[in-house]
Amino acid sequence: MLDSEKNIKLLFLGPPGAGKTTAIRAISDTSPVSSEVPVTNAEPDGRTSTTVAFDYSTIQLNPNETLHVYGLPGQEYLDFMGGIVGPGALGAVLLLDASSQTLAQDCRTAIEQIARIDPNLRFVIGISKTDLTPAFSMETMYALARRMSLFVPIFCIDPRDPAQARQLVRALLYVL
Amino acid sequence: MQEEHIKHIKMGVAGLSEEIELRISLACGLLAASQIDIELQDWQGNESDILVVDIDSGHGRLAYEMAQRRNLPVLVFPRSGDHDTQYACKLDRDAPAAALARALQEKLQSSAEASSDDVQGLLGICIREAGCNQDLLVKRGGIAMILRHAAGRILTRSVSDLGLAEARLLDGTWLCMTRPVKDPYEHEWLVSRSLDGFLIKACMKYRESLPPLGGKLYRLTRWPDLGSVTDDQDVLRLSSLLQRSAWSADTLATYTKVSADAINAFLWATLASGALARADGNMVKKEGAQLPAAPSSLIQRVARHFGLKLGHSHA
Repeated sequence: MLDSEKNIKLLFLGPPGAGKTTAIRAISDTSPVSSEVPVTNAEPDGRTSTTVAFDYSTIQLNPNETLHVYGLPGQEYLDFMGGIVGPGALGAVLLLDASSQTLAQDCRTAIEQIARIDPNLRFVIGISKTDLTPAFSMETMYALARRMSLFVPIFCIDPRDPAQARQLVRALLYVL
Repeated sequence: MQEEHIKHIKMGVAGLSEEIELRISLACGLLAASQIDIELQDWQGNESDILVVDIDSGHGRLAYEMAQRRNLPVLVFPRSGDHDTQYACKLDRDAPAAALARALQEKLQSSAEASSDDVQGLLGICIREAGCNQDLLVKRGGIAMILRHAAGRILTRSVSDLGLAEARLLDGTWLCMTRPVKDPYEHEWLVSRSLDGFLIKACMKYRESLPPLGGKLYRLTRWPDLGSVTDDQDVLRLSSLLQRSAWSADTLATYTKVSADAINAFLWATLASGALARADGNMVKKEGAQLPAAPSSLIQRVARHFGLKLGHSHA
């Protein structure tokens, strides 16, 4: 069920490092207000900063309407934010990192997070860094989708590319 | 009738009673109105385009077995009183000539439509190896690529090789061999891209050259990976429709107003990547049965911002 039309929300979820902040930046009109801080220890994936609360940005649909875009943090200890920010959202984009050693588990965890926000919330899946991960296989994702009886778009994207980030949102609009 | 548009068919009949053969002959006459000229002959193993056999007779049963071995299209009058036998194309013994004519026409049309043997080159390799779980090395001249069907990826030495491969999609000189993986890191230096995305873009380039898939019904078994196919909005729409229910290329073109050759190219590409499958006629209640509900005005406004037109005939 959608919230008031004054508060149109789109969620981005996924584990740290998947590219949520980057994707939001790519599709938004305004630079996201980001709760990023420098990491104190070097991250294996080369990140130098991490989101410690959530990202927020806006997309002006027309002079009277704004789409609010929230990037929910991937850290487990910040999971509670989904219940505050998430209800009433239009849909969700789940971003995953192909180079993660726990890709399938990351996906499962994020889908469970979506279900806690709203069991009926529609979502699409984007996978980043597939071009940098030679061992990556879509079969991992397709097998997981079959086991969980999901029939959702699963796209390999570069979250830095606005066109590819928008492609995920377009796919989401087709499944709503 | 213009001679060049008439289809000439040699039809062999085996084991038919006089009365049934007369009705088949009348049915063939009716097909002349559809520009189909059928030469009927008693089948003795001679060359035929299609057979009509009666399983009640020994001659009919023999002809049926020969047709199966020769991969000939065959229509069957099953044993009297036998309603359960699974023949692909059954005829009703009591059907009037007009109904027989319709059945004949349908069979002739489906036999004439494109199959995977009708495409060559890299596309043909992808279609024929769609279920392969091993890496395939494909080469043409100086281009070498690794197809990983199950992984949904294509690997090349350079981005320019991808472009060259796209341009030679239907070239018949591609070679293919399985390539066992010796070292999990051996592909680390290769350019990796989505196989779905590559095939869709390549097939769209060759849309005018691909044989028509016509009236067969297809359905997506999964969403194709469209992450990199950002220039073509129609593929999202087609995917949305094909994952909800089975469609033929012809009906999709009528419903979506997307050009027939673009739809045909999309179907060929997703067949080749393994995302699309023929829909069993028994499973399909009605073509295009599950159409999406009209989107709310809010979703339409959001869609407009993202360059989509969602409306009454949206997917």
